[in-house]
Amino acid sequence: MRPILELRNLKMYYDTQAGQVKAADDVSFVLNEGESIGLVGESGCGKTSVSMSIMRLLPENARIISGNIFFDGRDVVKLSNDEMNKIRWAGIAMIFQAAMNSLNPVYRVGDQIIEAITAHEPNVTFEEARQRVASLYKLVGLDPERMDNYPHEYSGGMKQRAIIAMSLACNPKLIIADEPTTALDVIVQDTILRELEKIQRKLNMSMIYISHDIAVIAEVASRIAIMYAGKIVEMSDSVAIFKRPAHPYTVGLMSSFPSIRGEKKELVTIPGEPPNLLNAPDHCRFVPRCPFATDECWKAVPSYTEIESNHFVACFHPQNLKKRVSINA
Amino acid sequence: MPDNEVVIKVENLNKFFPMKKSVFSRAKHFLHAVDEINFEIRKGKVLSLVGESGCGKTTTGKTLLKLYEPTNGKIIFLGRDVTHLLNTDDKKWFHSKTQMIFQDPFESLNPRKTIFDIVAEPMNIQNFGTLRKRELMVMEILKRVGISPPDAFLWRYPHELSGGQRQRVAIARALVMKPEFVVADEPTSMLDVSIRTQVMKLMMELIKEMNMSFLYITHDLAVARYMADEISVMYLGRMVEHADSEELINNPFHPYTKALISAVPVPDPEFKRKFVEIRGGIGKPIDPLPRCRFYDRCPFAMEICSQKEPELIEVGENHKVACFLYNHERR
Amino acid sequence: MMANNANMTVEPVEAKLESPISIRMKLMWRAFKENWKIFSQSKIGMIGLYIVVIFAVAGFIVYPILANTVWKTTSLNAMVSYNPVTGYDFLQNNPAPPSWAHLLGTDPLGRDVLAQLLYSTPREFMLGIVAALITVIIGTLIGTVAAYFGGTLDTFFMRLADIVLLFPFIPFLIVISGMMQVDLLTLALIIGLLSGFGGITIVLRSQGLIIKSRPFIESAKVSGASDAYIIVNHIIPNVMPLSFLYMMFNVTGAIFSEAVLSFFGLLNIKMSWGLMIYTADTAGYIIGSNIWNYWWLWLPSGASITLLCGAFYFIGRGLDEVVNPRLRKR
Repeated sequence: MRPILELRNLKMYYDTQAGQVKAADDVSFVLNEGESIGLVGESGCGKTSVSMSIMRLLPENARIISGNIFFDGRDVVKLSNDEMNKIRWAGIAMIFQAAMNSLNPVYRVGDQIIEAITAHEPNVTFEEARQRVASLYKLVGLDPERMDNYPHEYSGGMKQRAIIAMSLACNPKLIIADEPTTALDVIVQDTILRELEKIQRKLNMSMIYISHDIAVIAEVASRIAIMYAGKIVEMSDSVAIFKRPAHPYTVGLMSSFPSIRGEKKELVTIPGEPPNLLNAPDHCRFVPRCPFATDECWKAVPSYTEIESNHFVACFHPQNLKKRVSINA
Repeated sequence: MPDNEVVIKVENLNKFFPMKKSVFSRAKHFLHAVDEINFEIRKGKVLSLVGESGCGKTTTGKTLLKLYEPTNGKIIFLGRDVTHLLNTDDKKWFHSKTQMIFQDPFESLNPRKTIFDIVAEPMNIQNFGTLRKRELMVMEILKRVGISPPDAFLWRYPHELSGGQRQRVAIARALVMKPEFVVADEPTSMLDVSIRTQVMKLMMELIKEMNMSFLYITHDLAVARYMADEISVMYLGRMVEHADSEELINNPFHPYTKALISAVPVPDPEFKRKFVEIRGGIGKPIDPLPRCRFYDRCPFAMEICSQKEPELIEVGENHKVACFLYNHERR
Repeated sequence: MMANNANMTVEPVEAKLESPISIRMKLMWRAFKENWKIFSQSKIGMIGLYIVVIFAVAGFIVYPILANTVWKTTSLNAMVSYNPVTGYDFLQNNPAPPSWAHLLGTDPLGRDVLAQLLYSTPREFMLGIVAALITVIIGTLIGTVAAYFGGTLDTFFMRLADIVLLFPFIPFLIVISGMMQVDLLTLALIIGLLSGFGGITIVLRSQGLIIKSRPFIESAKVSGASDAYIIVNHIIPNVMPLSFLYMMFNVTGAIFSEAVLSFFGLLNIKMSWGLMIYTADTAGYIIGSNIWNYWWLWLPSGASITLLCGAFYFIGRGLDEVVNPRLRKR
């Protein structure tokens, strides 16, 4: 498998009047072709900052301090704005949070997708583009007849499908889906997620899913990175994350999630609140909330260790090691 | 008060909204937001209303608390008919014993009021106690909901607090006068995962401690399972299934309940769900035809389902379902 | 945990030791300081504020001092009177250009222009502020009540506002002042009433509608709050900043209307900036090349009208940045 996206020690900071906000601090991961990764974390943990850095859609006061983002062998950080514009949509497409509101209400939905195609591929004729939109509609489970309808004639789920069709319009190699189903109802969310997963497999695309909901990520991503306060604290394939979570934060997240399956278990809470990223400290950022913290944790930032093959964790006291040994043995 | 007493009882509650074009024209069409709802909540018990957006669960909650006038039906609170509160004393009595917790902790607190003013407002409105007494009660409840030390927060404004703290303040405000009955409208859906569990646990503790009755409105069956003793599933204004929460989760009858349960994502990548396929999307109950509202989307729809509306019938101990699949006598 | 909550930089206020009144005073002072910080970053707002302060000092402090000292009519200088309305300088031909005796010259009737200018300043302030206060009080009340209750009441006041908006404002004032004796206070009242029912109600009503739909209103209703309680305690405090902003714009409008009416000589007043121009005009000094030869007759008053109107408008623009966070620079 060939890596399509590689982040190396990405640091993205915001300059604010109150000081520097370390929104993404030392974020590294590799995404292979045809693979999907899920970034999970609470609001303000930097997951959207990472995706915005990859797309280079940064607000004025945000800067990529250091690090590289290799997309298809080229470093996105160093590209000019023109070159970046070519990569957006055609190379990397993005499905934004509450994207269904991003359709322009005064144009037909189909025309908006056609416009996206012709803007990036000037050689494509209108008829060809229309053909392509029709096949995209079929792919995402929409009736091609509905192309000539206006957005207000679509339901929330249909709009989200249209947005997915639009993101697929220029055959991107990578799609970033930022909370793609957050505003949708449970049943619609479920069908859209399954649709996305099917399309990803069919077209052998790479996907980055971003969500606060670990259960949603579990459904669709083959690999999961848990983010906390601007850092990836744990990363592994999804089964290992769920069966053998090592970072105390991941452990806490798992047991604080109410589940609809199996026995009703007592919910365990993580005390305290996520830290402010303003002038972040020089020690493990989870330590004030961590039940396993020792003096060591207050002194240094833990480095990534590979506790089993392809399972990385940034913690001095990784959990569930016993369980892991017994499974490996 | 005996422990088993029915605190609030709802009989055939309806709330229709007229669909008006302008102020001067008369409404010809009605949105049946809440249609023939029946339930009762006993002392210290939690009932959860579950359903997708637009199913009428929030309208039900707000109608119970008199934010909307019910179109018809009956609401009985502590043995008194409170469907239409006409005189001031009744209003005062009712509003001092009921409260609501809202979804959005950023919007449900007035940004121009201090935490003290916000929490003390129910007492101010009800003219309860002296200023000194109000101050003590505010401090006590703030401490109880985990805003501590309370005197460091009394004179802050909501924007100086985090989302979780704001929702704690909203809970403190609702509970400061020790209400008998509280409607909580998706109180945790806007909060982060780790904060959400904290707030859920806090509410569960407080319900036990203060022996309150709760109507917990949520779209999330997993949350309902943890919070509630009983769950009612609503679809387009109608109640389609009602049971004790474990019974409902483990043994659902109605096709919609089954679909809803199967659609909840499971935080376990190895778990393979069985999918219940349902067609189309949710509509709006405007002048609904006299037939099962789930008819268009139901994979088991029969002829009878299009001819009349199913009624809630008992299928097990305290387990009711409105579906002709289980309605043998009347078929 | 507290160490990490860096967003809580505000120093805790000791609650138990102080009386509620002193706490509230502290809170207001803190809010004032915060808003002042934002306002003071707006250049245009600060320029406006400086101009207003200069006029206020001139009108409310400098004029009374001068009138009771240098300009006081004594037997020694009986030939030179500085009374802005009845004074006359017998020692020179009038109108006379600026000199050491009359820093801004005299008008065709021999009265000192600077004295007239300073005498009028507090009256312009009063007119502007009284008119704007009336406008804002009416506008806020009607706007919030219409927004809160909706229905027929709302429709009535909004149609009324449309009518008032379409109303030819200045011609109407001209007719009114022809029909009755209009002094400054009456004028302030008329302007205040007219603009109170006009555009400002529409703006404040739409703001009221936004606030009405926010959950904290329902939260108060659930606790049994009456309609009056909700309007007074929740809706009005939240539209207040906008009301205050519109008050500044209305001051401008009122001063401007007064100038126009005085210029036509329609008001029953002793002296005002508009009347100064009127006097010069009716005596034939603002025609043809006379304009530049007799500049001191119209320029000081004209500039004062422009400056003071502009200054209040600038303050409004500065306040806009306080009220609408979106306009703020990061």
